[in-house]
Order: sequence, then C-alpha cells, then structure tokens
Amino acid sequence: MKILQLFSIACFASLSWTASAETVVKILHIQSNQKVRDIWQAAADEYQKAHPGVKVQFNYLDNEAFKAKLPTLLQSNDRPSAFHSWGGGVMYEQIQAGVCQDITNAIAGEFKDSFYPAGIQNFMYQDKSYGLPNDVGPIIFWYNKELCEKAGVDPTKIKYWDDFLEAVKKCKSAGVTPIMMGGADEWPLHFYPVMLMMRIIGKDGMAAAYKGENGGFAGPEVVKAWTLYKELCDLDPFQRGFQAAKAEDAYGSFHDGKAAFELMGSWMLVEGRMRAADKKGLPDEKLGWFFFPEVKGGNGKASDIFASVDGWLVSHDAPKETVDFMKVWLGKDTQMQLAKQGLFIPMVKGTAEVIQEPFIRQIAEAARDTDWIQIAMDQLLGPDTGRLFNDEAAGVAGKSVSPEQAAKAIEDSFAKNRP
Amino acid sequence: MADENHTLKLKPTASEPGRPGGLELRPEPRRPLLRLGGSFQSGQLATCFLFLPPALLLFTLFVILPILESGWYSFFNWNGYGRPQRWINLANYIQVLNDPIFGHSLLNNLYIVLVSAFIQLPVAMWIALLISDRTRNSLIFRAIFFVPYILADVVAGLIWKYLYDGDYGLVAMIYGWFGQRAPFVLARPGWAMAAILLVVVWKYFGFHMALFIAGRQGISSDVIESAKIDGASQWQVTRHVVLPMMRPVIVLALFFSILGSLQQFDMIYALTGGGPLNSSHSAVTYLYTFGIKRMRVGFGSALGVVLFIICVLVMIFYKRLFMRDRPAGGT
Repeated sequence: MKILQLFSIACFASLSWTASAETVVKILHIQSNQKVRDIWQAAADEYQKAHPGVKVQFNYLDNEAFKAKLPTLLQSNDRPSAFHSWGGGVMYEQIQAGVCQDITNAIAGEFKDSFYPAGIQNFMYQDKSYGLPNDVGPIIFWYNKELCEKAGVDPTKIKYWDDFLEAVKKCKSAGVTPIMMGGADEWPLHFYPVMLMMRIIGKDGMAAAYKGENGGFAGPEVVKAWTLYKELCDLDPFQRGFQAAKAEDAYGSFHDGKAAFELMGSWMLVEGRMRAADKKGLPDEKLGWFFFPEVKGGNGKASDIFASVDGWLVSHDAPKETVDFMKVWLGKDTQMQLAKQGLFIPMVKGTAEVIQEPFIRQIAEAARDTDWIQIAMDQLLGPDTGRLFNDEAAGVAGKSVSPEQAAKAIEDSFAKNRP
Repeated sequence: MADENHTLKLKPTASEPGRPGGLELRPEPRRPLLRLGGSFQSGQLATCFLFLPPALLLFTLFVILPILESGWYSFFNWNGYGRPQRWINLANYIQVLNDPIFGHSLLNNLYIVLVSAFIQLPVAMWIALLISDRTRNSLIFRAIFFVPYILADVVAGLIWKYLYDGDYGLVAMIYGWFGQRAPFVLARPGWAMAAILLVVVWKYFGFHMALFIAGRQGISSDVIESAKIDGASQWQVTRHVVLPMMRPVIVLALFFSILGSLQQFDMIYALTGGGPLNSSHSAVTYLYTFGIKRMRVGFGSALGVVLFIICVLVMIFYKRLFMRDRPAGGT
C-alpha cells in the first residue's frame, strides 16, 4: 500500500513538475554578437529566477536563413513566441496572415511609454501594436578625416547634395577613392535614392508615394531623386570592383582607410573596426560623420532620419509570459547595459545619454530628437518590391537602367503589392 | 512522368544486342525488373505487393505530391503565409517567360553545357588517356586532378572569389608582375559568367577524367593489341578503337554535365550571388533569388514547374538522341 502511495505521489510530482516547466518562451533572433547574447541571457536568467515555471529559450538563425525559414516556421507547431522583425511590408504580410498577436493592451501604460514613439510606431498596423522595437541604426555619412584633408574637402561644410558632388569630384581629382560601397549586396546602394527621395519630397511626400498618390514611386519628384543619384553614379564615385564587394568587405575597407566616405548605418563603427585589416580600424580622431545632405528646394530636412529599426513581433499563440519577459528583456535596465557598451542604440528613453562611445552617443541623441524615422525601402515595400528597389539602385549604378525606368519598375511592382 | 522515364530507360536495354565485353556499364541487377512487363506468377505478384508500397508511398509523398502542389501554387499570387487565395491564372508563367533575366539564366546554363562539352570533356579525355595506365606517376596525377572535385561547391566558390579579387587575389598578383592593375572580373557583367565557367571546368574535369579512366580501363587490352598488330598507329588506335568503345562513357559524362548545369547553385551563389546586375544567374539561383528570397511562392512554383518541364524535355531528347541504340546504362 505504501509503495502504491509513494508511486502515486511520485507520479503526481513528476506531472506537476512537467506542467510547471511547460511554459517556454522561445525567441528567434539573428544576433551573432556574443556580448549582446550574454546580456540577453542574463535578463532571461533573472526572469527565470523570479518565475520558476517559465523557461526562456533564445534560438539563433543566420539572417538569410531566418528570412527563408520564417514563413514555414511561423505556421508550424514549433513556432517561436517572439521573433525578429524589421517592420514594414513583411510585417504587414505576417499580420494579415494572422501569425502575429495584438499586444496593444498587454504593453499599454508605463512600459509602452518607456520607448520612443517612432519605435513603437514601426511595429503598429492599423493602430494596433504587434511588437516592440529593439534598436535603431541610423544611416549617416561616415568620413575619413585624413583622406578628406588630402582631397581638400571640408566635410563639415557639406550641407547640400551639390556640395557632396563637389566633394566627390575633388576626391577624384586628388586620386582619393570617394566612396566605399558594398555593391554586391545592393541594399547599401539603395540608401542613396531613398535618402534623396526623403530630402526632396519629405515625410508627407513619402507617405503619399506609399499610398500611390502623385504617381506613387514613379512621380516626377521621385524620378528627380533617381536622376540626382545617377549624377553621382556618373562620376564613378565608388571603389574599383564595388559590384563584387559585400557590405562587410566595404566596412573593413573603409576602416582600412581606402575611401573618403561611406554612407552606412551607425553599426559600421563597431563592425568596420572589427573587419579592418589591423582589427582596430580608424581611430576616433580620424573619423567623422554627418547627416545625408539636403537637396536645395526640397521638403526634407537633414535631421530626418533614415534607419534600420529592428524589433520583435509576438506570434499569435505565444504565452502571455512572452510580453511579461519583454518587460525585463527590453526594459530600461537591460537596455542601459547594451547602450553603455555601445552595442545598440536602444529605442528606450534615457538610454542615449549613457552611451559612452562618443560617435554612437551623438547619433543616438539625433535619433532621440528627430520627429521622423524612415525605415529601409527593402523592408517598407515588402520583400518583393523591396528587393526590386535594390536591383534598380544597382542597375542605375551599373548604368544599365535609367532613372525613369527604375522609378517605373518600382511603381509597377508596388502597384501589385500595395497593402 | 517518372514511370515513363523508367520505361524509357528500360526499353532499349531489353532489346539491346550483345556489346563488347569490357564496356558493360549497365548494372546487372536490373534485369529481373524487366520481367515485370511479362506475365506475373503469383509469387512475383505477392512480392510486388509486399515491396512496392513503401517505396511508392515515399516516392508519392516526397516527389509526386510536392510537384503537384507546386503546380497548384503556381496559379496564385502567394507569399507563403496562410493558404493561397489570390488566383491569378497564368500570370506567373507569363511573367517567368517574359523575364529577360530568366532567359539570360537559361542561356548561362547552356554556356555551362557547351563549355563542358567542348572544353571540359575533351580536356578530361585527353588527360584520362594520358594517365589511364596503372603506373605510380599516373596515380599521383589522378589524385591531383581529382582534388578539386572533392571540394564542396560552396568552398570552391569562396576560394575562387578570393583568387579573382582585383586587389588581393592571385589575379591581382599576376597582373602585378607586369605592373598592371587587375580587373575585378566578378564585378563586370560579361566577365563574371566567364569567370564562373572557368571554375566549373576546373572543379569538374577531374570527375569526368575519373569516368573516362574507368571507361578506358574497361577496354580489353586484346582489342588494342590486335589493332596494333594490324598496323594501327597510336592515333588510329585512339580514334578508331578507344574512342568509339568509350562512347557510352562519353554519353554518360555529357549527361552528367547537363544534369550538373541544371542543378548549378552553390558555386555561383558563393562566387557572385548571380550578380552583378543579375548577369550570372543559373536557372536555380534565379529561382532562389526571385522566388524564395522575395517570398513569391506562387512565382517560384511557376518557375519550378517550368524548370521541371525543361528538365524532362532535355532528358527525353537526350535519350532519344544519344541513348537509343546504344544505351549507356548506369544513368
């Protein structure tokens, strides 16, 4: 009898143990930096300690593999509770397919208010929140002070697009490669036409083009942006063989001192130094940055930020502990640690000030103060038109596509995909 | 379609007259299968019912069904989420067939086959005939020439990507000896494909060489000796005895080239990713870039169906042209 009793107690205990350990919060990410992962894991450990019944699991996939596997994964029984997102068109498709969870109520109040509104906005669809921002990577012009000096260029005086073209010409005539470009990936090229569009048509113009008004992305003002981009390409501003260079190769080469400028995200500071031949790259005193110049007569301002905004979406049947854990993981304490080490520019209020790396702090403060953050077109327009946008940007740089053809191809494609 | 393929494979074998002994590449165990077409004895029928279902089930589940599903998806504008709902008739097919990049990708596939047929196979044959004897030196050379084939495609792609670099690569070094700046071959639309073709030849000629060596060794020395006794020169022996007797192996090698070309993905993806300006895609990298990466599952499926049809047609014609009278077996 006693044995039977013991046996049933043991069974019951094991059952209840299984039940209590059953809640697993699975987070699918693309973060390869071990320092970031360690801080995340510490947040998970802390949360697990406070919530014995919950297990937090971080799963990593490489960027391309992540994009390719996600649709299938989200529709399988093995779907993650939360997964990486860049917002925009891909996110809209996921929300429309019903694989995301509306977390508007779950995050409402103090937690939601702890983020920059622009960050929250990026993961909203039809006034509902489906996710939260992780970090922002503004795209800016980095410059090499020594090479600019050699070419007789004063980067601090570059305010307008014409000034920049002038600087490129000066570099060319001084035998300095003006711009480093990872053209094989194409997306670094797409920064140019997008930022020119932002500077010419401004926030309202971009919203109108998105909706298909004024000719959409083939309107005359948009074509003008492509034409200005072509003027730059006609100067042969990029390094030799740029069409075969990957973005990461370009980061390293810029930090090896091979070109005067590179239009790239804030992340290039860390990644470029890491990939430089001497593993150190350009020291602070040889490096500078400025916002993408304005276009004379345009509606956009230099402080309008074009950025990659990364974040997390919650899948439709994720346990409620997911958002609960996010309050720790994406909360101010954890984000402060990431900011302090300059690993991210978090979108949590009060984190910009603690960033110790001076360049990153300046950029973070600019992101904090801006009233418009435009996300990358290859995200905003969805994977199909987005990639086509990149193709067209590469086509114009390769002189095989005219500005009009590029704009028309994009509008034709987006006309079919417009939400 | 697969059943038809089997029939096509087996029919000529059944009516095949005896061939010179040493060239029997066709695996023997196939013969019993041929009897399936004849009258069944009850024991055979039972065996059939016992052994056929597992294979048939797996084949249906993993080959037939996905093909049919692709065919179904190809009529939708679908991004892979939820169930496909936006039926668009043949729009995907029209888009595939009207896309100049797809045409160019197929042309690239054709280049691979042509380069293989006219450069790679002759070179492989030449070397195979030089080192088909069993001396120590020949064995060493065989190993050396075979090494590139052992490398994974993606590794070969990455190695050559570095060699082709105009600043740091081997090409840059060679140009440097002459005081010249090397071009970035992978960054130029016309050159990138040529560069890929060179790597394809380098990578696979060792494999074809191995096939040819096996074929050459299968030729009985009696035949060659009798030709020599009859006064044939070395060239005459090669031209009129060795090469004709190696025809099945050559047909097989060319078949592998076509197959390899249609499957070519890893190396191109590692070398150029299909760029610059989408000039170096193969049909499969095109499918990956424009179907999967852009999440156009419907379009990708239509592409898959088109490729499937192309593959089937190529194989049927190839068999009709080269394998009718004297099947190569082993394929």
